[in-house]
Order: sequence, then C-alpha cells, then structure tokens
Amino acid sequence: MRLFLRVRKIFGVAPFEHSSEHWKSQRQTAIIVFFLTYWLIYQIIFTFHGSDLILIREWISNPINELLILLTVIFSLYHGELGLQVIVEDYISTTQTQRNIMFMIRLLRLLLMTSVIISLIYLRL
Amino acid sequence: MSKNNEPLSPHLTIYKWQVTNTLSIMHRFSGFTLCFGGVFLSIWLISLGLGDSAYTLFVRFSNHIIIKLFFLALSFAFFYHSLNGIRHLMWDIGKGFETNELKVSGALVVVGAILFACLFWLKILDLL
Repeated sequence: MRLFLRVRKIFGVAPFEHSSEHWKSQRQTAIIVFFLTYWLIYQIIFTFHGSDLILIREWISNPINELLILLTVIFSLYHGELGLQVIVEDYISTTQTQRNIMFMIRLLRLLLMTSVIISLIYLRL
Repeated sequence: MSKNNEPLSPHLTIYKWQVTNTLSIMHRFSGFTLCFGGVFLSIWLISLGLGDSAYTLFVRFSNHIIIKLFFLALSFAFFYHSLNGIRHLMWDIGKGFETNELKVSGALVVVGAILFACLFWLKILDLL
C-alpha cells in the first residue's frame, strides 16, 4: 500500500504532503531530478544540435530517451510543486487561499503531465 | 477566512542582508524560475506530438528575443539551483554548518554556476 501511495504521489493523485512527509519527498525528488536534468543538459549539448525536427523525432524514437524524458517531466513537475507549496505556505497567510493556489498548481501539473504522456504515446503510434 | 497560526517568513525588505540569506533567497527564486522551465519542457514535448506545424510554431515562438533571454536566465537558474541543492543536501546530513564552510561552499556554488552556464552557452553556440 505504501508503494501504491508513492506512485499516486508521483502522478499527482494523492493529497498534498506536509511536514516530514513533504521534507522526505522533496529530497528524494531532488536527487532524482538532479540526475535526470543533467542527463537532459548532456543531450541538449551533444545530441540535439539546434532544434531540427527530424533529428528530435529520431532521438525520441529511442525508447530509453523517451522513457527518461518522460521521467524528467514527471519528477520535475512533482519537485516543482513541492517547492511552490513551501513558497505558498511562507508568503500566503490564509489557509483557504493557500489551498486554492495549491489546487490550481496541482491542476496545471496534472494537465501538463497527462498532455505529455498522451503526446509521447501518440509519437509511438 | 480562517487565519493560520504559523508566523509568516521574515519580510525581505526589513531583513539584514548577509551572504547566507542572499544565497537562500536566490535558491528559492531560481527554483521558482525553473518551474516555468518545466512548463516549457512540457510544452515542447506536447508540440512535438501535435505535429509539424505545431512544432514549427513552437520553434518560432522560442526564437523570440524575450524567450531567448528567458533561456539565458533559466540556464543560470538551473546551474545555481542544482549546485546549491547539493549544498542543501549536505546540510541535511549534518555537514558544512561552520561560518567559514558556509562562505566557501556558497562562493563555490556561485562561481560554479556562472562557469557551468558560460560553458553551456559556449558549447551550444559552437564557440568551444
């Protein structure tokens, strides 16, 4: 069940995290995002060479690249949400406003994440 | 509206500025900037799935001067946030709390971020 909860958190379908739970998730995602984004920087420098569509299509047709870019998006958005939550909790004084803003951030995260997943599946067809 | 009992963060305008709190607020600010980077990365992949015309539109959009300046800021934000993130993780395992250690690690992070970002752009623009 703990594993299931973790998967739900990664995909943004779990309640907002607080205190030690939030602290742990923030650090864990930080380490994951660190490696994934440096991998992406490496790809941008050494394999993209501009933004040529054919080259990018070929690059993303490699399942390893596709999987890693998907993980980069999912974990970056998750880590970003955890970070924004701290900012919102620090500078917004009313709990209700905090919740409203977090709800909008969560909605945006889900929208972007599902669109990216659909887009990557579509590229496979 | 129910008021939260927690105190608000110290207001930046009345806070005495030091090296440590400057780097700390920069960490937060760069993280905030990187959120837009995440949105941009997602839109890039979505445009790729939408087909040729959408992708061409995206490339045209990213060639705008404001977006290019955003990329420049994003690169500095990324290298700063990732390097300072290591510093934060070191604190979490209880290392590097001495005043001189804080100053040295802070300087290393700032210099490293500028260096990495410069190397990155030199490489991207085929100047290196």
